[in-house]
Amino acid sequence: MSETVEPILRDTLEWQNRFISDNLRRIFLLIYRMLGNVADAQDLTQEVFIKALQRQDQLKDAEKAAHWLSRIATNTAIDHMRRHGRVSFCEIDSLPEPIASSPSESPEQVLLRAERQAVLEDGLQVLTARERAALLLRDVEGLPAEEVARHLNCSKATVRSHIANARVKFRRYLTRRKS
Amino acid sequence: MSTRNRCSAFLLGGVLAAWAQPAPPSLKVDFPADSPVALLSVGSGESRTEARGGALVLDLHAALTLRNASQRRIRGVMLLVQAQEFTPGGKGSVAVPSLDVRPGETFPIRIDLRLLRPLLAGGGPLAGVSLDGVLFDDLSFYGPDRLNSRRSMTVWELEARRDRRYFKSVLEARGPEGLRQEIVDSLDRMASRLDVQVVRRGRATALAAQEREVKFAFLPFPDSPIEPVGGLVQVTGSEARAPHIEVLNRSSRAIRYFEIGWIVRDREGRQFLAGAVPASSSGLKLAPGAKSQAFEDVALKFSRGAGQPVALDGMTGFVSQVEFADGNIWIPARTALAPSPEEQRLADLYRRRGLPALANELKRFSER
Amino acid sequence: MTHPNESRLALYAGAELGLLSHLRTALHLRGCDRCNQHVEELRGIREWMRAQDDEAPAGVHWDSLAAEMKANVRLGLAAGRCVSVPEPGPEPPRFRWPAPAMALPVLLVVIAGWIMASLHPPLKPAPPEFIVEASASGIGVQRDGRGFTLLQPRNENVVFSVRGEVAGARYVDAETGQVTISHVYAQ
Repeated sequence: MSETVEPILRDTLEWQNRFISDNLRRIFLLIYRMLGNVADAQDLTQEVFIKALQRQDQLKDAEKAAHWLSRIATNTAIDHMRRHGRVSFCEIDSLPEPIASSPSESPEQVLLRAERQAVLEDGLQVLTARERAALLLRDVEGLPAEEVARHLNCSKATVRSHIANARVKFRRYLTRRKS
Repeated sequence: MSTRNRCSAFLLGGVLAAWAQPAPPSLKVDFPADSPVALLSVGSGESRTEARGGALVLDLHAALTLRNASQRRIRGVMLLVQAQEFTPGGKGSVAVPSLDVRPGETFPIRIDLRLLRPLLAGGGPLAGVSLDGVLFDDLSFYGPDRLNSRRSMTVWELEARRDRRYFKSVLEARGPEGLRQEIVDSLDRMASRLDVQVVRRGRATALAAQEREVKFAFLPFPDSPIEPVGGLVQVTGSEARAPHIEVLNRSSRAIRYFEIGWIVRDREGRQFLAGAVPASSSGLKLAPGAKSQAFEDVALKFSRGAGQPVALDGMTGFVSQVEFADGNIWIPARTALAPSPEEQRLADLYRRRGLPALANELKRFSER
Repeated sequence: MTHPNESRLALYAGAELGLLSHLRTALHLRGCDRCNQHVEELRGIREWMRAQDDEAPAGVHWDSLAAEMKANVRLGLAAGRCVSVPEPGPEPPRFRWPAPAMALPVLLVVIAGWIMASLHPPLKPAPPEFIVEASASGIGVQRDGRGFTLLQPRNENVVFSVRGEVAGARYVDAETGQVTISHVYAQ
């Protein structure tokens, strides 16, 4: 960054960078778990941040901004799934870079982590798009049910129904997996 | 909540909790109770895993310390290392021929292998190590022999004895300098390595229109129980497709396996050992006077150095091993183009520790 | 005894029932081990899911991905600034030039296309279906274009060979001084 950038612009850029850094992983994971596809999740994550930062004058309050970002992300993902049909998880065909596991992780820990991921991802597959979104926002993101309803732009009763169905289906999936 | 239901309550939690608990060891070494080798220790701390897509790549590095628990000298050990039985790349083996382990002595075996395992292969150790075979100095064998380790280790042991005799005779006839020259020549030859890729079902990567049929030449081994009577391979540039070699059993005994070693010659006249073509049918029983063939429906692509293709000019085959129906094995006389594992070991010993160490090593072995 | 349905138990586990329903369910659970077990399982699953919230997908190198996404976001924002529609004046001109408004979606599509192309390069033709490989990279097995190396490359003398669907590497182990022959099996 040039030293001649005006202070206001430099502050704006710093703010944007911080906003992205603070929320990028969370939003990416939310979208990824809804879509089940890294490439699509990457595209949509970028789209979400571009949309959000183009309205950054509305993002004064950090906490509200984070919630608002989640809403955009959820709706963007649901719209994407509607347009493209159910997206299934696919293997990364060309062997990608390996997981950047920390040096302190043992082979067993790497395996456990990868298997946990697989359990979660496979389980989310059995849900509808809305159920998946509701479950992720409620049980992974930890948002209150009312907030989930606002994210999904539906009534509290409807979101409770999505949450209940999602939990029931996920539990049944785990039971089948164990047996 | 009752005890039963408390236990049951964690039915599903247990599934999830399993992923939070320490996993079993990476490597499980399992030798039978009557095994002639006993496991004293295993260290696999350097092993790593990498998840890639739906699979796990196991980068296994293990140091095993074994003890000869039998009453005979051990000449070779082969271990089966398995992450997954039916996955390509899920199975490997580590063999250590040219051993000389007295009863009660300990010896090391290192495993440095990468294996592939499906991500959701379930719990348990990441890979298992079992004994496929132990060869003793009287050429008797112990083990399940799932990998044909008896045949392989017997061939290696016979080659080792042959080559040690040869180098001893060089030492006696031409002195230390003669031996040095032989070993240096051997090191030079082993440095000229070819890289080989095998493509399934003979599907060539180059244009078939440029393919030409090349006949195999054969190294003569008058005492070989089988005689190659003809061989063809389709050659395109650096690729050789569908090698097909016909052999005649000219011995008086039935034969159940043979291999034809394969030497390729490039346009500069250099020769390289490419590999071996096994007899095309398992469970072969080739009667005296009968013919059989070695055939592989694959294409082999050769290159050198950094993938530099080798322009193939000719092929030479030689009978590299024959196993009779009674289990006896024949190997050819020493050929400079196909160094044995023992020759490689002796050459490396010379490289690291010099001529006196090599001479002492040759004297150490008392051959039968 | 009638039991609450699974959905009600699922909502009870997350404390999402209305007050009356919650109390009724709690009362039932006091005397029903089976439903208690069910609720415990659901709570366990919720806790477990919550614990996965920061886990990146398998196979994703997060630092690289994050850097790429940040760069693309910056690019997208810069593209937006380049073609931003001017603020409407108090009185629209009679012949308003529509180009910037039309150029905006077009340019964004072009830039988005460039981004997509660079992120998802055109598919290459599938490589040959190798079975086994013995080379300076080590011994390896490949199938349907996906491959991996099964032996660490070594600098010292290694004699490679292939026999059928078995690739072998023979070398003298520097630590033990023993000749070691490793094989990998495609089948």
